[in-house]
Amino acid sequence: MGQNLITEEKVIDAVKDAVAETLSIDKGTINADSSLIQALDAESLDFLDINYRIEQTFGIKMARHFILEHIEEMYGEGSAIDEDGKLTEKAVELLKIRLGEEAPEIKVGTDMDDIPAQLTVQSIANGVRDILNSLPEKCTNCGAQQWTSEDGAKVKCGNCGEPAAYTNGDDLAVEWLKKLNAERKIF
Amino acid sequence: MADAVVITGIGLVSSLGLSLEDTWAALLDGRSGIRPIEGFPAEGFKTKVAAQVSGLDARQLDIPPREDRVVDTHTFMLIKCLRDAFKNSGHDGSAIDRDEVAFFAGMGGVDYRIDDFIPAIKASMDKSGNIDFDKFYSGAFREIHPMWPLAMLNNIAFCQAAIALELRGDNTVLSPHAEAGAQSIYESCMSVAEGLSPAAMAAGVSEKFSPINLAREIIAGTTSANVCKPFASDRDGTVLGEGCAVLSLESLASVSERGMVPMARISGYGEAFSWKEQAAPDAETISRAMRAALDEAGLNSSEVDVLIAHADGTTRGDANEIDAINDVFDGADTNVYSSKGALGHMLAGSPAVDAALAVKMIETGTVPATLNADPLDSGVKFNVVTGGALKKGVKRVMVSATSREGHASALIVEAATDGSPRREAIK
Amino acid sequence: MRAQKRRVVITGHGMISPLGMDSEETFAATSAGQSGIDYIKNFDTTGLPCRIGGEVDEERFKNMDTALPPTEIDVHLSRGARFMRLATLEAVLQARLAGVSNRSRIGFALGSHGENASPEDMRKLLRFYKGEGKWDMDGLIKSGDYPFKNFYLRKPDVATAALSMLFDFAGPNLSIVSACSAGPQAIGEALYMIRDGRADVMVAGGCESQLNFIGFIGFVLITALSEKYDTPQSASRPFDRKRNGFVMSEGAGAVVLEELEHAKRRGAKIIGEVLGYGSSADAYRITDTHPKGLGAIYAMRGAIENAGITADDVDYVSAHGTSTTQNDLGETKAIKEVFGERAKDIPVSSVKSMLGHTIAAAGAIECILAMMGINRSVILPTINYENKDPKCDLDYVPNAARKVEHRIALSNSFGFGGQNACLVVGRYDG
Repeated sequence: MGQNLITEEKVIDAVKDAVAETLSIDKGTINADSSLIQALDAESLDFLDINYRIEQTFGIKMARHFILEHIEEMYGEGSAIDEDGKLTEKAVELLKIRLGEEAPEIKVGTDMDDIPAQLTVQSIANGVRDILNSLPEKCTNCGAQQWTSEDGAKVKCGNCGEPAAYTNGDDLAVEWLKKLNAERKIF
Repeated sequence: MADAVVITGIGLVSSLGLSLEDTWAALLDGRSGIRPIEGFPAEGFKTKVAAQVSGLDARQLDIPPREDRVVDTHTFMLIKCLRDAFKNSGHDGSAIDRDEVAFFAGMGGVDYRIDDFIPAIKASMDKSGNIDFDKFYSGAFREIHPMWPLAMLNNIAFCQAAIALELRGDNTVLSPHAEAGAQSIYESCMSVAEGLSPAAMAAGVSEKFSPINLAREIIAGTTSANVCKPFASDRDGTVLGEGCAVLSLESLASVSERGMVPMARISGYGEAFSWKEQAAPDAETISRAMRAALDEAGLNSSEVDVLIAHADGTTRGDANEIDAINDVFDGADTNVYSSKGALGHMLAGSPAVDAALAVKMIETGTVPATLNADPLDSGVKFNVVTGGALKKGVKRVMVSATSREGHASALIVEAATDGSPRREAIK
Repeated sequence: MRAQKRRVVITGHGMISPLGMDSEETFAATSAGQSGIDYIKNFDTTGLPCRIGGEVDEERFKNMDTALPPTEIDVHLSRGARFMRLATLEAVLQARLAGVSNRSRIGFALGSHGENASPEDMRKLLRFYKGEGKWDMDGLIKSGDYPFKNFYLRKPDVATAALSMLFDFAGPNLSIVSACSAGPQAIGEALYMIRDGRADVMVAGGCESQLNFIGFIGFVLITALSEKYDTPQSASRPFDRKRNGFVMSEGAGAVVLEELEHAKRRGAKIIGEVLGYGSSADAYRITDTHPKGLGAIYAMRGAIENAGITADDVDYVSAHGTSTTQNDLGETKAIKEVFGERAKDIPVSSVKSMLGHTIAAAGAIECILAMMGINRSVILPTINYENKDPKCDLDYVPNAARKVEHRIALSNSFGFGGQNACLVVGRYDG
């Protein structure tokens, strides 16, 4: 419903804008499959800035922790990362589902420090899309079902003007893991 | 000081120009950099003027746009001056190992950029306009952009400048007042003199002029509404200025080896401290610092051709300094100058800028007129250069600098080729 | 190499930390592997992703602070400066500095960053801010509502001046603001001042209290703090594979440095010697440390050379060890580079595992503890060391202090922005 207010193009475009502004590079050089660290030379601080810009654009809260950390917290130490800091079989299975085909480098034994290099513009956009899809049916403030957006990015209630109350990225990741594990019983 | 440490290059920016040459020419011309405040509305403030630096921007300085949120005026000034000093001393492309070049800076304080908080405050307000701290903590604080805490660090401009020039040697950052600028020059000299570094960059940087640093001065009761009148009988306060100078320092031996000509040398440093009145130092303290510097350089006060006084136009500050100069320079022919009537008070930047002006005085045998030092305070028993520029052979200049918190320092700048150091190395 | 003619010894030290109100208490607690980290009590952290820190015992601090005779300068003292006052008092009493009559030969070098305004004060300030740089300054001043001291709280030389006046230090006076290296850089500069003959005694160190609204938020925003911990006490886990950020703490450390002959002449008790100091800059990035640990290598090598020793003479390294993924890895690499084959044989521990990170105070506190450790033949542990990180494979003195006679220690501090400091302290044998 409300998810249709923001198009796929808008999401990818906004992520590219955020990356281009943070790294001060030409937007035209950024592709959906560009790896931020490898191809675009981002450092850790840049990720914070990119996320901040996206958050400001859409009025959302991006995840502050990577999916591997959530796995470890929910399913115990060693479930995602073994003693040598390498990915476990189960972690690889999950990551492949989450990051999809853009992550050919992820296999058992991949060092966890190499994972951030796999992050692409598309994977960030996927995270944004997940959050946008968490738009509640009714406005939490007045109960109306009248979502609207003036700029194709920020959603608010057409009745009372309250900004949409999305779930934050970390909570969504936890929900996703629970659901996936209930279906596939990986852990 | 032990071995002769000489200045081989200078970078400088001020409200009168983005180079030492431009600033010097403007000072000789009797121009002032003190102008109506720009950048924010001044109606709410007692003081309507400042000596601000303009014309510096990040792109022009090749600062990558990704750093925009963490840089500000003080960073621009420091990077520009550091680059210029480095280049002017012939270090660009020289054999010098940047990993060993020392870098000391006296930096003005860093204040909050209130605008950065506003989005978070707005997001934390409840319906009646009060701040709901629960809202702030549970998410609204994330409306403050993540680079803000870095912009708040006192040493961030220094680190960015070190990154820009890839300097990895001996370093420290002192703050925030005139003593910090003088100390950074001293530390740089010692790092070279003791063989710790092949060269050292000594920086003095003012604060970025903003509503907050202006408010601080106004509340301290030290500002004038619209003019800075060093040594004048009707002086009523100082005016803040922006500015920066970097001196590139090296041993005389190394400079000669490189075939460069030294500009001047630092031959003495003295400091003293007394916070009895929780304000600027008293006359006795200033005298002590001056005498210590003279002592170290092996000079009598009569051998000092020019004194660049601190003289910031404050009632008490100037009064104390007048007494000190009358005492230390009694009977001497020394001419006295203050840059603050034209350049304002640049805090940690002033001693470095004044040291650079001292170099020009030695080089050209000219002393600019002290702006607004008129009518002279009746207590003044020394020669203040007023009216027009003075032509005089200048071999030795003392620079005096004091802080608001009881600190007095003095540096002696001498012509480079005036014989070997007068004192033995410290035993 | 710097002139070695004047030797500099330690004749007193003092500290305030989350584990003690003087040096002995903190040393005893760290020897026992205790943690000073707990849920923050001094301000409400509900909703924040990190809710822990190393707070100084509030009640004991208040008692000690208010027991001191009030003076006119008290109004200038921030919380951190008050810690420094107590630490300096302990140091000065231990060194019996009251007996030194020529006060202009006693200087003071302090690493600190001042304090932030409280949320209530910020709220008042904002009432007079009209947006887009417009201020109603007259209104602010006339309202009498906004404490003006807030304009000076972040002014770094106020604490230095106030404490110098209180203790009658009339010699060289330095205020250093180099983030996490500020304290040890102050000690290093103090060392140079004495060697240069500008002072016979220098009291030096660092103090910090950023456990407040604004200070804390800053570190949360850049995700530098640990956010995943089973218990507050287990959050600071340097070199452990599960480390995920540092824990912020408050405190102060003061050390009395004195020229050797001066100390001997007045019969001062000599606690140890400061042999050398090295500083460097990473000149790499603002937050990320140099991938090869270049700055750290230069600082350690510089300090060793400055001390007139070789890397083989170092018995122990008190690491910067903040418990961040980056620092601990980079520091490990740097130590291996500096010490070569021997690196695996040198104990390297991080007291921050117990005290957290006291920012400007850290290096000062740690160097004092390293000195005390030398005198008592105790090497302090890195606690919470449970999961080996294959990339951090040195001897981190896991979990329990060790009784080892040793002579020379390095104390590392690698600050935000890339400024580094390394001090060498050694047993004084004459």
